Amino acid sequence: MKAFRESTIGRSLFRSPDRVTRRDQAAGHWSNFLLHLYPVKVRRFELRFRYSWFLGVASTVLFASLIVSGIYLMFFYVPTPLTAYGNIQELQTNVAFGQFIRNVHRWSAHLMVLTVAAHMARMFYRGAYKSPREFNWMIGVMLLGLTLLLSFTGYLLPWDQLAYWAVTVGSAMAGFVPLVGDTVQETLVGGSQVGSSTLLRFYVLHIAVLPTLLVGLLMIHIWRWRKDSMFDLAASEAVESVSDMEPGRRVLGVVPGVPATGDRKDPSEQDLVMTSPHLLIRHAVVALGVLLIVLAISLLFDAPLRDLANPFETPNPEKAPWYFAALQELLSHFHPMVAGILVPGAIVFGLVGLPYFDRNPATTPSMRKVAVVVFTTFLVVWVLLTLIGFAFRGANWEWVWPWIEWHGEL
Amino acid sequence: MSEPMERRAFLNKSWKLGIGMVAAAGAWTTWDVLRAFPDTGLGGVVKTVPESEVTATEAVYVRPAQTYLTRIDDEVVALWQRCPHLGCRVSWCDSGGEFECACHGSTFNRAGEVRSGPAPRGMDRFAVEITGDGVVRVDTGTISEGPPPGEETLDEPPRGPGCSGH
Repeated sequence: MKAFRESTIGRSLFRSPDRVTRRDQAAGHWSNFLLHLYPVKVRRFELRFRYSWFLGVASTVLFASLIVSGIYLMFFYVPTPLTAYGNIQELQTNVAFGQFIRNVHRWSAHLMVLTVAAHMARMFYRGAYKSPREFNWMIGVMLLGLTLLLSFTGYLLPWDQLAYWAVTVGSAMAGFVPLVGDTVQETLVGGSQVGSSTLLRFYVLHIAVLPTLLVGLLMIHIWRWRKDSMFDLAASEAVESVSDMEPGRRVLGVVPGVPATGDRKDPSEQDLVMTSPHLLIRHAVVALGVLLIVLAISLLFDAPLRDLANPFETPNPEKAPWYFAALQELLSHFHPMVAGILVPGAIVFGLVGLPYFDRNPATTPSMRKVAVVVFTTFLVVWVLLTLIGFAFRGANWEWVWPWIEWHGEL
Repeated sequence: MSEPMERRAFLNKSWKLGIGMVAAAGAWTTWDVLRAFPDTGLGGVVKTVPESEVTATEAVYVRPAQTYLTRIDDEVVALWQRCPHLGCRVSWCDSGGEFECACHGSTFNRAGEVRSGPAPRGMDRFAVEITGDGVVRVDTGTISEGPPPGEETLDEPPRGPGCSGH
C-alpha cells in the first residue's frame, strides 16, 4: 500500500502520499473523497458503544444492502398486475439465489425501520437534538418518514393479497385529510381503487423518487453531523489551550491512539483521537455485524408471498404492515379523522418541532425530567399499540392470544 | 444615489421571483400530470340482473359492478362493496342478515346503514335505473355517500348469528 501510494499513479490519486507524522495522516484524511463525510478527529468518548449504539451506521449499512439487493430484484420485475406476482414466483423458483436476495431485501427493510426508529430514540435520550443540532434532528425525522414511505411503497410490489389489502387500507387513511383528502388519495392511488396505475406509481416512487430523496437527505445528515461535531471541537479546543500546559499529553491536539485499557477512567471531553482508524474500524465492524445478521435471518426465514391479489376477497383479519399496526389499532377505536389524521399529524409536528419546544439546554436525563417522561410515555404507548395490532388481533379485529392463534404478518 | 441601489434591489427580487415561478410551474405540472385519470374498471353503467331477482330479504352480489343489490321500501338499491372506513370489501352475511367488514369489524344493516364498528358513514350507493324490459342498470359513475352512523331507518334487527363469529 505504501509503495503504491508513493508511485507516480499513487501520488496522482492521493494528494498527500507521505504518512510519517500525525499531520500527514490528518492531511491524508482531509484529501480523501471517501472520507470527506467524516471529521478528521473525534472526541474519544464518541468511540464508545453507549454513545450512539452505532444505530446510525447500522441504518446506513441496511440502506446500502437494500440498494444492492433492490437492483438485483429490478432485473426480474415488471410492475403490472398481470406480471408482478408471476415475476416474484419465477424469481423464487427459477433464479439462482432469487429467494435469498428477496429475503435480504425484505428483512433489511424491516430491520431498517427498526434501527432508524431506535436511532431516533437513542438521540432523544442523549439530548442530541439540542443546539447546535436542531436542524439535523429535523432532517432525521424526514429520513424516518422516507424510510416508512419506502417500506410502504415496496410492500405493494409483490402484488399478493398481503400487499393489495395492506395498501388499500393504508392509502384509504389519506382520504380523511380535510378538504384535499379525496384528491390526495386518488392521486396517490391513481384512481378510485388500488389497481395497475397504483402499482406503477408505487414502483416509480419506490425505485426512483424516494431513494433519491433519501440519499440526498442522508448526505446532508452526515455532513451536518461532521459540521456540528467540528462546532463542538472548536468549543473544546478553546479549553484545551489551557490544559496544554501539562507536558507530553497532547501533540497538535491529538492524543496518540492508545486503547484505554487497564484503568477504567472516563475519557475527558477534550481527548481527541484520529477518525482513521479508530472510528472507521468500529464502523467497519458494525457494518460486518449488521450484514451477518441480515444474511443469517435471510438464510433461516423466507419472505412471505400469499395468494395473488384479489379485489373481490378481503383476507380476514386484514393487517397493515407492522409499523402501521399502532395506527390501525387506533383506527379500530376512533373516527379516522382522529386516529388517521390528528394523531399522526400531532406526532409528526411534535417530533419535527421538538428541538424548538424543548428550550432546556441540559442533556442529562435527570435535568430534563418532563421531556424524558413525555417521550418515554409516548414510546411505550406506541410500542404497546404496535404489539397489540400486530400480534393480539385476529379475525374481525377481535382480541386473540398470540400463543393460541397467530395472525402477525411481516 | 439611490437609483442604482433600487435597480439592484429590483434585479435581486426578480431572480428570486423567477425561481419561485419556475418552482410553481413545476409543482403545477407535476400535479396535473399525476392527477388521477378516469378508472377503467368502475365508472360505467353496468347491466345486471332482472329486477324480479332482487328481493327484500337478501343482497344479490353483482361482480362487474362490485355491488350488492337489495330491495328497500320496494325500491332497488345498489350498495358499493367498498367499506367507507378504510376500503376493505364488505361481505353479505346471510345468517345474520347484515353486511360485515372483516378489517375493523364494522357491520351494516341491509340498507347499508352503520350498525356497529368504526365506519364513519353507511355504505355508498350507486344510482340505479330499471330498463324497459325490467333489467337493473347500475351507474357506477354516480355515487351518493351513505348516511352518518346512528341513523338506522330500516327496522330489521340481526336475524341470527353473524358469519365471522361475533
